[in-house]
Amino acid sequence: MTNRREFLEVAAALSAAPLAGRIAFANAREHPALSAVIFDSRHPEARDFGARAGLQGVPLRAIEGDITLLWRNELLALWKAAPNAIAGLTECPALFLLERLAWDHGLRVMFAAEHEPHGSGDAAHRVIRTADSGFGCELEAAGRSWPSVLADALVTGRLASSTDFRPTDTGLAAHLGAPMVLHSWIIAPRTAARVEI
Amino acid sequence: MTFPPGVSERDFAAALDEFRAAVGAEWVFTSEEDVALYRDAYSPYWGEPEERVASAAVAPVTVEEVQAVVRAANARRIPLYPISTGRNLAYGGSAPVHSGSVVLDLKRMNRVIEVNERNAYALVEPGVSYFDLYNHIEERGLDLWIDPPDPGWGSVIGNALDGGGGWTAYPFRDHFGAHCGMEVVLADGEIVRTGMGAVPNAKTWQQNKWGYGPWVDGLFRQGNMGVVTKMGFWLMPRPEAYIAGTAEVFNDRDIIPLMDTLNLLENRHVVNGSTQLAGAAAFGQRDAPAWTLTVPIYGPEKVIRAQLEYAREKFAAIEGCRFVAQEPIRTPLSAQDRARVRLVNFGTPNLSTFASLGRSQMQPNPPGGHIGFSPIIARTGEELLEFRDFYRIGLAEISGGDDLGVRGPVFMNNWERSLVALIMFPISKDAKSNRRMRVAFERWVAAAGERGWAEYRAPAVFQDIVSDTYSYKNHALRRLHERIKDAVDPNGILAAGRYGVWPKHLRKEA
Repeated sequence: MTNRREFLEVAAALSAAPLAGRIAFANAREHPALSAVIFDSRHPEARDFGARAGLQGVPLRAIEGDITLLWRNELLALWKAAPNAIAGLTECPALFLLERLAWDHGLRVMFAAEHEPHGSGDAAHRVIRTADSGFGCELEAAGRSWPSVLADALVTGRLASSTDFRPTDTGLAAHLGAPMVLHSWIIAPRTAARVEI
Repeated sequence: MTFPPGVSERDFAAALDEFRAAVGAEWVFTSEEDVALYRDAYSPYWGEPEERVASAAVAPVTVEEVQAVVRAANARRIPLYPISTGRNLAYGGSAPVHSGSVVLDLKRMNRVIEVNERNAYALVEPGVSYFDLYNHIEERGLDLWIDPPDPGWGSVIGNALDGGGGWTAYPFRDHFGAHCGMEVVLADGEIVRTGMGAVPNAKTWQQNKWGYGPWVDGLFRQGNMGVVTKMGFWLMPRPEAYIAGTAEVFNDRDIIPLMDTLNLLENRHVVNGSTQLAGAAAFGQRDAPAWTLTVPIYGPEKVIRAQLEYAREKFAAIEGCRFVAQEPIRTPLSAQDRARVRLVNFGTPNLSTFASLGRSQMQPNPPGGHIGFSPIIARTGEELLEFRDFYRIGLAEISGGDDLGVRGPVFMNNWERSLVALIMFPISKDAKSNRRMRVAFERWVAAAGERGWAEYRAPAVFQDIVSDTYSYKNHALRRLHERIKDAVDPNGILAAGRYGVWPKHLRKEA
């Protein structure tokens, strides 16, 4: 697994560009590109996920639970300019907040999955919303490499559902007494059929 | 699709057409996926037939559009449920109290109309969030603070109208108390401006609360007499500094002189910040203080140093009390200070409270969603001890031998002169668990009510039972509210049932 130092070096190299700089790029395409990948750097699985996504040229943003600064300093302007797509691997509260903030900008959660890491490095996966019904099996087969497989799939864009725009059932209230779970997600314009990079 | 109760499909369709004509078709939401966004994420009835849900939503952007929607609804008796931004989690969110109502979503009305630095006030629309107002002030370099609640993503107006509170200095952290003047659209579409707003050309709408004659603003707090479309708020000029001291007592009953001293200091306006009180249970150590009280003070540095010294002298009169003074924190905050302080105490909105609900080593089993049981209790040590004992003894009894993950009490000082003893009930999306929680919540309300402890605010589904506890002279207060409701909203279209006030045709006895 990527350690924090290795990760930060990669992230620093890839994350210098402000998210606002992605707007023109995103708007120039028929389908919106991912404008950022967000990950909770407290979790090694999320760091691996972020590092892999960063290698594919997507701006990375690390959080440690709280999304306030990311929201205030970058996402608000990004979404006021256009309904730009983002993806992430975070804890539940970040998804809960970002989903609700995204609604006001015409965005919805287009892909959602839960990942319950085991101590061994692999995880149990539950895919909640996707256009690719076989993706859950793909993650299971990936074993300890699931964060990379997840990152590849999110960034290359084949997972976003184009038919289901309801609120995700992954809100804070869904996890009373549940084990530690990470959430992967794509938040994209409601009209986007796919997320492409 | 859910329909408003008692409204024919034909009338509902006609009303929706009129709403579309008023606001544009793209701002009337009827699809299942759109209406689902207005569900209460913390509903104690999540997924059950009793869950309060909307039938549709309409989102005007001007007061004229609000008038047009209200008039159309009134003509066809369509129930409307106004929301500002709908972020009122734990108290109902954006879901209506009366299932089947059309949500009147005001978040597109998001103009900061005026921020006046010289007289320290703001005039805003309902869709303005604490972040919006904060950003507006920051971008213009104005030397003013807002008072955000925790979290700060909600509406300034919505929080005030629901009775919310914040974390800076008094009187600003009493959000309704800090308002000055409002504009309201009544159920027949007429616009009323309160206080000095009723005087054409007056420059004092946000400077004088009272104006002339009976003061009606209170009718719109936790009310359903109109749709508030503008509201003024007094803001705090940025204080030069913040200082705090911590008083610790080691005898449990020393909470009595501790609270008496605090009351004296607050009532003399020596301590103006939002105090924090913690009992020994919070420390889990045998030699820890029985009670710890932190008293923050905002103001000019040389003044607050003297105020803190005065507070130290007063607390020293309590035998064995240990008082530790902190160094002042100057504003604007340095980057270093910003990283270590609780930002809401410094007028900075944030969302970090949600992150704290996540899993951590300190909190391996986080509560997730929650609703608050928030009774008002007297501001004395005796009452505080009585409530604590009531909680400890009652927890097992009332909750059927299981604590159900209930947490509390936290004694909140957001308002002057009284305390709120907050108990948090976890809410999940499991119907069985929620059912047990509801039963326990209702028992708590009744048991506390018998002792004179009634809530200041309640989740939508419990607003009726809390209203029942305000029962003096056969609910004379509620009956007065109902008489006013019948007079100003005879068709009962606005926010039916909000805070226990139902229109005539929906009352239990009707």
